Parts: sequence; structure tokens; C-alpha cells
Amino acid sequence: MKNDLKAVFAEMRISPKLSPRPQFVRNARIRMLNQVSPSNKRAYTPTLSLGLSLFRLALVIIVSLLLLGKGLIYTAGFSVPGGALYPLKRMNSTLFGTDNTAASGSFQISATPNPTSGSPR
Amino acid sequence: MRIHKRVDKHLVAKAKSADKAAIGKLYDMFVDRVYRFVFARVGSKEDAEDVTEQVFVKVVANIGGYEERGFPFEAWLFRIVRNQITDYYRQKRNNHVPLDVAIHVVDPSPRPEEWVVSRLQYEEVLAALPRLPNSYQEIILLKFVHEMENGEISKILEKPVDQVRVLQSRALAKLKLLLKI
Repeated sequence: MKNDLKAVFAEMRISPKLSPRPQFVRNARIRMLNQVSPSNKRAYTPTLSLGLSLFRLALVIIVSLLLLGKGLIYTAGFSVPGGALYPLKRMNSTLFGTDNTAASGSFQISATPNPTSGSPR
Repeated sequence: MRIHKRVDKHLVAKAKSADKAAIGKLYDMFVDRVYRFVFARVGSKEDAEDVTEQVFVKVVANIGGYEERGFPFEAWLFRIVRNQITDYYRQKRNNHVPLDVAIHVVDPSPRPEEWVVSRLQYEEVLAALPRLPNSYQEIILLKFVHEMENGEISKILEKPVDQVRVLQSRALAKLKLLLKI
């Protein structure tokens, strides 16, 4: 009996007896499309899917962070001991060396132990 | 298995920008389903045609304001269908129904010559539907005839999914009771 009801529901879904008259479908379509007003027509611009939008946002954030990091490292190259960015300069030179020649020179001078400041033997 | 696919987002976006071809395509996709739903609710071919046409006129008038945001186009459309049927019954209630029309109530029980055929017919279900509360009729048509998901139905009926689930089983039980199955 349960299957009977299922079969009836399926029949209601597809039975041609329950579908609209083709003439009505055609005429109603024409009348409906005549109601479409071109006045509120806006150009259609396809938008990105949610996944693609998130990927684009993530890419922008990553590139921005990389640029910011690089900028900080570059600025840190000119810092002097006691400056806010000096630890970054030390860390950068310890990990990767430094590619800023001016900063590299000043760092080397500051990092080299002063032979005159050592305690005399 | 669902007999229909989810509506293409780009098609809806084009329809929103008053693209006649896109609106026509949406109409072609849904006119049959909308008509079947309406016919099952109003029980007359002429009225079902009128209501179906009014639904699509409303779609054209309002599609510019449709925003998806977790509300599928299909659910939006069927909410319009639902409102249109409510309007239809409201107008009908206000109109005087002549007695000779009113007494033509369909008797869902089989005629004597049909008693030998035990298989359930869709006409019996259609005749039994109006004897159910509106919410039961809607849920039977949306869930079992149109095979919509509970999430979509909850958006159309503006009820939580849990309530939709409860309503489904109650509606089906009541229908079976009416059909004596």
C-alpha cells in the first residue's frame, strides 16, 4: 500500500493529464515576456563563485603579507642597535644573510667585536 | 532521485537584468511544476492556469529584488506560488459561490464499477488533498510530489526543518487515514 502511494506521487509528477495545456503554456509565456520592462535592464556581469572569490581573497592577503614582510626587512636593514626593528635585522642576517649592501656594511661594523674594547691580557 | 536540477545562478542573474531569454528559460523550466502544484491545490484547470500565469507575472515584477544568499530560486518561486494560492482562496471566499456549483464536491470514494480495481489512483489523492489542512497539503506536494529537500521546504513554509519533518509524517499519516490505506 505504501508503494501504491509512492507510485501515485510519481504519477502526479509526470502524468500528462496533470500538465498544463500547451496552448496555455505558449500564450502565458508570450504575455509574461511582454511584461518584461527594458527600463530596469542592467548589464549582466558574471560574478565569481564563492570558492573562487575566497581563493582570490586569500591570494591577495598572502601577497600583501609577503610585500609587507619584505618591506619591514628592508627597513630593518637601516636600523641601529636599540631600534624597534633591530631584532628583525639580526634575525634576518642570522637566518638568510642580508642582501642590502649598505645595511650589510653597517651591520658588519656593528657586529664585529671592537678589538680595542677587549680586556687587556 | 530528484527530477530537476538546481537552477543555474548565472541564469537567474541574467533574468534579474531583464534578459528575456533567461526569463523565458526559467519559465520553461518551472511552468509545468508550478501548474501541477497549483492544480493540486485549487482543483480546477482554469483556476490553475490563472494562478500559474499570475505567479509568473509576479516573478517578472519581483525578480530584480531577488537575492540568493542561501535562499534558492526554487524556494523563492514556490513562496510566490504559495502566496498566490492564498490570494486565490481569499478572493474566492469573498465571492459568492452559487449552490449548483457548490454541491459539485468530488467524492473521493470509488464508484461501484471501480471497486474491482484496488490500485490507488491519483484522482483519489487529489480528491483527498483538500480535506487536509493547508500546511499538510503543501508539505505532501512539496516533499512527496515535487521531491524537494527539507531545507528548501523550510524556507518556503517559513518553518524550522525539525517542524517540517514532523509535519511530513503527520500529513502522510492523515492522508493514509483518509485514503484508508
